[in-house]
Formats: sequence, C-alpha cells, structure tokens
Amino acid sequence: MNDAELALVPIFLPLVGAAMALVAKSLSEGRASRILETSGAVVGLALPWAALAGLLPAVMAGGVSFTVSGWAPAIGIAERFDGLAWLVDALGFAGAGAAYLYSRGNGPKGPVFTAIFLVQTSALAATASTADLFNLFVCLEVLGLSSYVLVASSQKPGAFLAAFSYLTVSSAAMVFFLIGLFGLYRLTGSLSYEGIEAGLSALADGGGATASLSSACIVAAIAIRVAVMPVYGWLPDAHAMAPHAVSAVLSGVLIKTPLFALGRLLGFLPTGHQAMALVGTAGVVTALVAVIVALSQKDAKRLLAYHSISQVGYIVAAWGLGTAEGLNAAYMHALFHALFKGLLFLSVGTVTDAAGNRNVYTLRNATAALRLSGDRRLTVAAAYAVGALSICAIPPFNGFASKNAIAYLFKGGWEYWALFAAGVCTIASFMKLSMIYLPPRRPVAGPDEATAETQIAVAAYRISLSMKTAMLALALLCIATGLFYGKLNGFAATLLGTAPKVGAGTLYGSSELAKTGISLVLGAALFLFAVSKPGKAAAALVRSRPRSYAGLVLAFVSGLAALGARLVLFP
Amino acid sequence: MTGRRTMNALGGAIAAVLSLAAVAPIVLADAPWPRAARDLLATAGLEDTGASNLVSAIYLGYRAFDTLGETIVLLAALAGSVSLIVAEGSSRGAGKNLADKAKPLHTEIVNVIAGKLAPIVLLFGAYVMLYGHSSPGGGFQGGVVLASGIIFIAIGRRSGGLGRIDPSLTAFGHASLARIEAAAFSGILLLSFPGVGRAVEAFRVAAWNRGLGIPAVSTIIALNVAIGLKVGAGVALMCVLMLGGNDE
Repeated sequence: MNDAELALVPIFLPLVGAAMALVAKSLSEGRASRILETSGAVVGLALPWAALAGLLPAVMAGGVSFTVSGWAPAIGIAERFDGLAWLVDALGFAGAGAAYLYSRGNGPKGPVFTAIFLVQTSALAATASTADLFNLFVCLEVLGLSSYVLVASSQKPGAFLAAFSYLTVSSAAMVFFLIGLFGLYRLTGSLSYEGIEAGLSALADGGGATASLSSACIVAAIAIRVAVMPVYGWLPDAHAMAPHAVSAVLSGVLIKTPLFALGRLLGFLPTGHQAMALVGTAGVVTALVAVIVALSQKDAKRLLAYHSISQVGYIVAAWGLGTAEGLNAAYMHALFHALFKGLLFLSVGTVTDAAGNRNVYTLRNATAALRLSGDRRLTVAAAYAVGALSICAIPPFNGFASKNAIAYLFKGGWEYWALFAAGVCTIASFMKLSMIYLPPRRPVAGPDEATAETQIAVAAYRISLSMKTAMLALALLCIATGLFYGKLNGFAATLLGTAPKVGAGTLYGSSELAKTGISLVLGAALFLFAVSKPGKAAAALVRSRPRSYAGLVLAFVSGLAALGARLVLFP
Repeated sequence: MTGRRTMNALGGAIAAVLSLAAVAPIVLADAPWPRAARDLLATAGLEDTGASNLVSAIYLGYRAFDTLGETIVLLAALAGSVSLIVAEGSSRGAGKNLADKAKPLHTEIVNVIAGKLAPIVLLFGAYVMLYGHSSPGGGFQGGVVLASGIIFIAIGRRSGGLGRIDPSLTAFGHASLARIEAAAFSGILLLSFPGVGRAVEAFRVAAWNRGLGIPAVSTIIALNVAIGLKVGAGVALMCVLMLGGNDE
C-alpha cells in the first residue's frame, strides 16, 4: 500500500466499522452481535490512529497530493493529505473516540447508532483531506445527514424539530454551494482546487463577478456549518437537544472541520483572502455576542451550546487572518475546545440527567445527585471543574494557552479588546453554571422553582464506568495539553509549515497572568450582576428575543449578499 | 398576527431579491462552456474504464469515491427514516394501526396484479442493474426498480392476498432485507477500499496472460450489482416497514 492509498485509510476504516455494525444489526440479538458491533467501533475509531502514525513521516516530508485511484487530475478526485489534514483527523478521532466511549454508558446505544456515528467520523476525515470541490460537497452532505440522524436519535421531544430545522437550513445552504460550484466549473472546467486556481488565473479578469459571487455562495454555505454570525441560529437547538455524546462531537469536532476545509479551498481562490478576512471579523463579533447570549440562558446544555458558538468565534477570528500563524493558533484552540467542550457537555449532561433538572437557576446541590447516582468520589464534578477552568482560560489548563495565543495575534487592535470582553463574559457565565453545585437554598415560594428535595429525583440513573473513563480521559488531556502546550504547539506548527511565534514563556508572562486576574475580577462582578434581579430580567429579555426560521433564512441571505458585495465591489 | 405576517412577507421578499442578486450573475454568465473533461471522456473514457455508457465511466470509474459518499448519504437517510418509522410505530402500538389503515386499499384486484407484476419488475430491475455499464441505468436506478418489485410482493402476500411467499420464511421480510443491505454495503466497501482496485487490476492482467479473459468493466458491473442490492434492500426495507411489516 503506497502513501496515497494509506491516506484514504482513515476515511475507510470507520466505514468498515459502520458496515460491521450494520451486519451486527442484521444478526439476531445476542453475544455475537454485540461483539461484532464493539469490534466495528474499535476498527472505526482506534485503528485509524495506526494509519495516522504510518502517515506521519510522509506528512512531515510535506504531505501527499494525489487523485483517488490515480485517475487523470483533469477528471479524477484530488486529495491532499498534509499536516492540516493529519491534525484535523487527530482532532476528530480524539473527540469521537471519547464521546463514543461515553455513549456506551449513557446511550444512545444500538448498532444503528454506532453505524451512523462511524459514518460521521469517516466524513470528518474525508472533509479534512479533500482538494476537490464536488468531493467537498459530498463530504458535507454525509457529515450533515449523519448528524441530523444523530441529533434525532435522542428521541427527546424537540429533538426531531431541532434536527429538522438543522436539515432544512443546511440543505438550503447546500443549494447555494452547488450554484457556486457550477459557477466555478463553468469558468474553469475543473473541480479540483488546483485546476480552479489555474483556470481562474488564465482568465483575463480572474473570473470577475461570477468567480467572486460563486466563492461567496460557497463560503456562506460552509459558514452555516461553522455557525458564525449571523448564521448560527440552528446550532443551539441541535446541540442542546442531541444526546450528550453527540453534542460533544457536534460542538467539539463537527463545526470546525468544515472551517479548515474551507481554509484549504480559499487558499486557491483569487478573492479567498478577502473572504477569509470578512468571515474572521464576523468571528470576533460572534465570540462576543454569542457569549452574552450564553450568559442569559437558563437551560444548562443550551448555555454550553452558545459557548460553542462563541469559542468557534475565537477560532474563526484567528483563522481569518489567513496566515500560517493564525491557522496554527486556530487549530490549537479548535483542538483544546474539542477536549474541554466535549468534557463540559458530557459532565454537565451527566449532572443534569442525575438531578433530572437542566435549569441553571433552580438546580442546586448537584453533588448530592451525583452521589446518589453512584459517583461517590465526585469524578463528574471534578471533570466539570477541569472543563470550566479550561474554557475560562485559567492557567495551567489548556484554554489559557490557546486563547492567549489567539489574543496575542490581535495585540493592539479592537479585536483584542472584543476577545478580552468575551473572556470576561465566559468567566461570568461559568460562575453562573457552577452554581448548580452550591448547597441547596431554602425553598423559594415560586410556582416554577422546585425545592432541593424534589430535584434529586432520578433514582434509577446510574453513572457507569465507561462514562467516568471518558470524562477522566478528557480531563487528563485538558491538563496535559495545557502543561505541555509548548511542545504540542511546536509539533502542530511544524506540521502546518510554520514556527511557533509565541513561546509558552511569553504566554505565562506576568502581563498575561495579570490580565487573567483582571478578567476574573470583572467576571465575578458581571456574575453578581447576572444573578441579581435586574440581571435576571435582562437575561429573560435576551432569551425572549424573537427567533424564527424565517429570520434564519433572512440572516443567511443577508450574509451571502454582504459577502458577495464585498468580494465584487472591492476585489 | 397580521403584523407578523407582514414582517414575514417583507423578509421573504428581501431574501428573494438578495439571493437572486447573488445567484443571477452566476447563472447568466456567458462564459464558454468548458470542454476539457468532455473531450477527455470522449477519447479515453471507454479505454480507461471499459464502460461504453460514459455516465457509468464517470460515477463508477473516475469519480467512484464521490459515488461511495452518495451511497452513504442514502444509507444514513434510510437508517434515519427507518428509526423514525419504528419509533412512530412503537408509539402507536406496534404498528398495528398503520396496517389497519392500509387495509381498505387491499382489494382482490390489487393483490392479483401486484403478485403478477412482481417477477416482471424484479427481472427488469436486475437488467437495469446488470447492464448499467453499457446502457442507461445502473445500480441506483436498478435498485429502486428492484425495491418496487419487492414492494409488489409485500402487497401481494398480505392477509387476504394470494400469499405467494410463505410469511414464515420471510424471504423478503425486514430481517432478511437488512441482512442483504449490510452485506451489499460491505461489498461496496470491499471493492472500493484503497489498494483493492490496484490488486484486482493486477489479478486481471495476470489472468489475461494465462488466457483467462476478465473484461476491465467487471469492477463496474460488480459495483453496480452491489449498489443495486444495497439501494433495493434499503428502500424496500423502508417501504415494508411503512406498510406495517414490522409486526411479523
């Protein structure tokens, strides 16, 4: 097997695992079926690491470019397995592996879930390495369709609607992707990124308005998957309603892979840099606005979902710089966010399930609920603490290093202060979420405020070993990646063809630590406001803002038009 | 309420205008149509893949990897639909109501005609699937025709019908359909797994040298058959469940 074939193996192994799970489903239920399903999961989620290890030398040497099955580049499917693809694959398999382990304890279970979960993982790997516009479309379709099914698999009321709204929005967006694809193919006669670049540069005006608008259509369609402002509206429902394990993958991995795939494409388009810059600016705004909305939420998982949008805003902001350093910082935060947000979704999901209450304002004394559900050593609470400290950028947890590395890129600009404000809001929001661990309050006389006794109600709920193992592994990774940030960042920088500009020494310098201290004080003040009466009223006001499907469509089209106008008028 | 309606209408109008403004220049552009891929296909398509139907040469030859993705889209969509149907059936009480609802449609005429048509439709499906490399058709189309044949059998053998297939054998029941689908999917993966194509080609050349002629197009035929069985079993499974066949 040569490198070109080996580069496809991380895509095919999860599919083989999915096929094994489907065969397991068609057998009659029993030992053989369960063993086959588990081996399918091992083949799909563990074996790809061996392929990635085998690919490392080739990636270090600059990566592999090839067409699938060696057909002529003019008509075959171009693939590029380089450092970025390797890193995004590593991110995907780490996030998916931990989430799958958790799902063994808490569900959803069954071979169909395993099969679709593995299909999704395969699509993640395929998206990471594609260098062909139509293949990117297919990858995004598989990615989308498997996630609609996974969101709906929670069987909760509202999950079907969330999945349906996710489906309609992103399918509608994919129509625009196809129109953009048509435009570029019409101009260049090529579907591979390199062919499109060569074709456009051969044209007198570089493709003119047609090329710019086609690029805008493609960027807007992918921006929906990344949930950047203003097209993030589908995400909170989908991520909050999905089963916890699926939420962890959706938030941790699924919204970032299309972003890196888009970056690969935009490197080849003449207006790519401008499009990246505009999306990056939208990312900064997203980081701040989404966290303010997060601060006002009362449903714990919905709160986390809005934080995902905000954190992806950080990633998009750094990515939008279009430089290798920016990409490096964006990837590191994407990886760390996958770890800590996965951990947060799993731990908060477990706690709220154990207590039978997802309302941040009424759930108290969550430790008691955990103990009753068989978590005597409070592993889940400790895991939550690690995740919360990481997302709040408290040293030495991993979020501190990656967030500061991004902030460092914007030193001296307005973006720096916007991201600083977002950091303050993040701290306040997680102080609010952490209140669920406070001792019970006296019963409050209010119609919807449950008392502490009734909250600890879900007696049948059990926290299993595999759930704890998944959370412990993620927590340890959050700490380890924070402690060894310098080495890890150096490795990622090498794979991305750059050198780390900001050493760990600078990140842990006195000014950064002082900034963290100030953030903490400001965050605490904001938290006190948020839980006060006027703060709660303001939160209710934010929550009750009109949100509609029609609004989502309008937001998408306006974003598309703004991007198109920017690219056409100021090329 | 009317205020909201006006707002929605206004928003819809703005959305339509903006999206038209973004899309129209792309669709109306008068650039010359690209020819490179067409010319390459016309000159090398048959020789490269062995398929005289160049559509097959594209989707099972040059761009088979995309086709694999589309097959998986179908797989995921069917799995999602089936789980929704099963969830709906169980919430209504084991799908009994669905079957009862369908009963008035089952007249003697439907039963007889469905039973008579089934073998013809199945044969036609097999033809479309097997000859996709040289005439219009292929695995996806043939698979859907096969599925219609299976649905005819399912309709024809319902209680009160002629019962050509003993339900206890469940030859076309949902369990065996799921088995066929899983096996066919494994087959597609086996054929397209990285490195397998090269190994098959090496084997074919070696066989050719020993006087055993295996045509180059046989990979495409095998893929068409596997895709046809997978699509046929998947679509038929979904329809059988929708007919209330999961209470067997």
